[in-house]
Amino acid sequence: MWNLGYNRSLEMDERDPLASAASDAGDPVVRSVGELPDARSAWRFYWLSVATFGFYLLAWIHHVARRAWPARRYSLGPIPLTLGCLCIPVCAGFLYDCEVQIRGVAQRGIGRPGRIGGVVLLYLMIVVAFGLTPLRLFWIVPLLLLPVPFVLIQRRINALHNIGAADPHTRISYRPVQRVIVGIGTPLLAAGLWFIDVPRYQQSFSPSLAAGAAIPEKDAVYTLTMPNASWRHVRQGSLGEGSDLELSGPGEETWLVTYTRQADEEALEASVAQRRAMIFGSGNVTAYEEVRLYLDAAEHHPISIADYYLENGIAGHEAYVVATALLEDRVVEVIGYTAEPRVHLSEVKQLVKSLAMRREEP
Amino acid sequence: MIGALPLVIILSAGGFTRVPSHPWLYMSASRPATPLPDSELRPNSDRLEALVAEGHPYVDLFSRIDLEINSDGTVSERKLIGRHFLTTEGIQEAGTTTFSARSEVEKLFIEEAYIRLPDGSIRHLDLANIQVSTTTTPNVFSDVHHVALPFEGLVPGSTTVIRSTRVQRTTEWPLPWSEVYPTRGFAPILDFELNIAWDADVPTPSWVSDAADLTCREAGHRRLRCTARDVPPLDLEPGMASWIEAVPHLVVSRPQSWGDIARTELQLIQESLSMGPVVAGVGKLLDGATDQMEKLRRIHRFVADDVRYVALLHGKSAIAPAPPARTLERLYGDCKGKVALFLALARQAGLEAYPVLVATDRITPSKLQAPSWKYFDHMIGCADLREPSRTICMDFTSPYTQTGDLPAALYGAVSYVLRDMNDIPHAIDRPQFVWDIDLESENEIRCNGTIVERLTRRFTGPSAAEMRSGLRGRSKDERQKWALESYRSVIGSRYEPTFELRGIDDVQEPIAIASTTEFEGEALVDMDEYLEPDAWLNHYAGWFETSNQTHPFVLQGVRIRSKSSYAICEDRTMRFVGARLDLYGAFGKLTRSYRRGAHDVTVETLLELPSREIQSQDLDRYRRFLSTSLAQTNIWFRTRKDGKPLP
Repeated sequence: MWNLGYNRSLEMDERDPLASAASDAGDPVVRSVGELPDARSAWRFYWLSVATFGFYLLAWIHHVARRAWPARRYSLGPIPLTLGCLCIPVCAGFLYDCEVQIRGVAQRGIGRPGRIGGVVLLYLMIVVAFGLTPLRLFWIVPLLLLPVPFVLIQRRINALHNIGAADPHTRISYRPVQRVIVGIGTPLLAAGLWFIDVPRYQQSFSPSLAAGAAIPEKDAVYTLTMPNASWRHVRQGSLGEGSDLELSGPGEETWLVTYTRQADEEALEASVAQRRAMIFGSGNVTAYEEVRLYLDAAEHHPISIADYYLENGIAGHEAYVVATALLEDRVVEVIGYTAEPRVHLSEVKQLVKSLAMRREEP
Repeated sequence: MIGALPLVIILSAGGFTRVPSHPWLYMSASRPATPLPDSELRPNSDRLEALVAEGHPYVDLFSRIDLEINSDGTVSERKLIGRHFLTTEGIQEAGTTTFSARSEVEKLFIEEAYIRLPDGSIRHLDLANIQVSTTTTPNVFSDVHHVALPFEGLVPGSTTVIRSTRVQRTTEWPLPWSEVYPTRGFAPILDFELNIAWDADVPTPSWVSDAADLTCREAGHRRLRCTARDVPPLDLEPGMASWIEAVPHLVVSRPQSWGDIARTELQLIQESLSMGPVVAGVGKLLDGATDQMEKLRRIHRFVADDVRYVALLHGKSAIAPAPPARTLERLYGDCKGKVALFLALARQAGLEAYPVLVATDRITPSKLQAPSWKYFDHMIGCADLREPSRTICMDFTSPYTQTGDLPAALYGAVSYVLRDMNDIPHAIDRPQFVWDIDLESENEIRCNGTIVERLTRRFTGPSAAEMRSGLRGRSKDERQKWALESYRSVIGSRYEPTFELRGIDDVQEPIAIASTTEFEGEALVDMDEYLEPDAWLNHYAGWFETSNQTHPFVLQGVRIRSKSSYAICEDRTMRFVGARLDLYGAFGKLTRSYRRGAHDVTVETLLELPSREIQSQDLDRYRRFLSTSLAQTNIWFRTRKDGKPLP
């Protein structure tokens, strides 16, 4: 049990906090095992967590753990416990312990401590929502949500601090170093939001292309035909530098990017060799096949279609399908990629192989 | 046979003197009193400016021909040519004017030849400088003489004027008379005119032209006048299959049919065959030969190999073959003499054989506008075999081709079979692949990075004949030297291959050029990948490129098979191989497959370009197909040191 301050130690209870939590319905008997963590403004705490990209939470956990030490629930010191909180179950347990201890103190001082498990439940909901939904694509979402359970704990700690205090509000401003951190972190946060999450938002929530649709719609020497409706445009530059078309496909890591360059007759061979060297250098290629044919027998526009399969140990399997075509004086390179080849390789192939030369409409 | 005329003029008739060393050649005894008006001897200033701007080195101001068909059997062709020189290049190119005449049946009269210099003065040609020559082609002798007029003192702005008359005695020529006049030249012709007149008891000549800018109309009783103005020069390209077909022509002839020509030529051949039997000793030639193909092969080899080519084309001999017995006795003959010998031997052997006229510089039968013997310059022999039923044609002037093949240049040429009087000329069928080339290389890549290449280049069919014709006359050392030079021109001058050449002296065998080369290097020592161009495939395919822009290109079909195998060091395993090629296009195909082993790989490539005539509008597409296909032929594979082979 936390000590409510240097001058406000409560009586100790030798019961295990876990057992205390388990007998929550009964009259809990708690023990004082340390000092009450510092009070701090909930909102400032929240923003400090966000502005430090969550790292401040680790400092906070360490602070709370150090104050509460020795808690029986874990045979971990403050630092191992802090690092352990990077693991979801450990963190959930830590929050639960916080709730239990706050309740123990609160029953004596606050009177309305709330139900134990609410914060943990919120934490788990955030984690689960982040893991199972497309929200995981946006790093700002967990950054904004994850501090909330910890802020709730802090609010209760603040409440414990305020027991009997004349001014119930806790107004603890940032320390100078924290101001500097917030001052640097906030613009970085905004930049990250703009450069990473906004494109991802556009990627994830832009309208998907209809099955059978031919793209690009104009100003290109080639077309691709959508195999199904699970592909959507991505802002240029999201997947590759200097590309002229970028698409995201089904699943998390399935995409397609195209490049168009001025070229001569030798450029196809050079382009294929360059891409081959790049992919061979990127991982453990376990299968490679290439075929070259003419896109059309009349005009003799050659195309190379190369399939690469990579097995990268625990990182899993990857596959590239690269079509490189020489269309008049330009080389068009279409690179399809999937990190889930067992699921999406066939449609990636279908899309890449749909590369055709654009015909002028009569 | 070239020589300056020792112009000791001893005979004189009708104002002309006869050159004693060339009794068919006459020259005007006196200079013309009045040259042509000055206005005719230079283009007007506007036209001159335009011609200079167009970059022409010279221009024919006028080209006038007066043709008279006389009742006495002579045909007189009077020419008046005025040529204006715009640049020194034009003078270099055309400052010497040349006429041709068949001395045994024609007479040539040089009536006047002079220069109008830029200052307006007239300078007459010194007749002592006139040169006469005959053909310089080895083993070809004829009565065709070339009379050259080397004008002196030519400078840009000069105009040469030549008036000449050629008189033919058509009664001394077995084939019906005809003339084929080109209506365009190598320079612009500002004024072209052809006047035809014929006597009352002469059949009205037939005439036909494919020159769009030529206008012909009757110009009085028994007179025809054809004119053209501002005729552009010929648009020629080096890769033209038949440049002569690009020249519009006017054909004037005594009325005749193809059957008339066939009948007359066959009669000449029959007369030749009837002049004494072929000696009996030749009978041994066919001893032991039972089937028709073997008999034909032996006769072909005898006539092509043992009877050398010597052409005596004087007078009527230009079209009438020598009797086979004489050819046999001399052991030489020209194309038709050899054909006559072949026909005699074939008939003795019971083979059904016949002669075929060939126009070697023509490929389009429809461009033979009217029946005329003048299109044809060659004769070959053919035989129809019964079992299996097939026709085999042979060019007996080529000792390099195997029986069943013709020299590559004859495929597609216009021919006229002298058998059916109702037949018409047609093109000799081109095989789908005239050129058949096999490339086989075995490469051993040693652990120290050295590559030992054993390469065999094999030529079959007409392509072997082409190679053989260039190699047979060389000594062993010269052949080795040629092989080394050709190898180095493709692979590089640093290497010292050893060569073995096979099949040069036996026409039934393909030509094989085998070489072994050691390339010092570091292949697959520190690098996992191997990459090299398919150099020989590219080299031989390059023979079939064309730079034509405006004229059709005749693609003589080619098939190149390239098989390259690579054995790598045992401490490496083969992992991945390069691209399979399935390049099927409008002009052929290029395919490739790799066969991978644990420590070796074999790459098989096939390029097929079937025979065809590619029209000018398709030339860019053809070039693109060939260059784009060949650009995909790099051989690539990837290995791994101490790695396990992939399944």
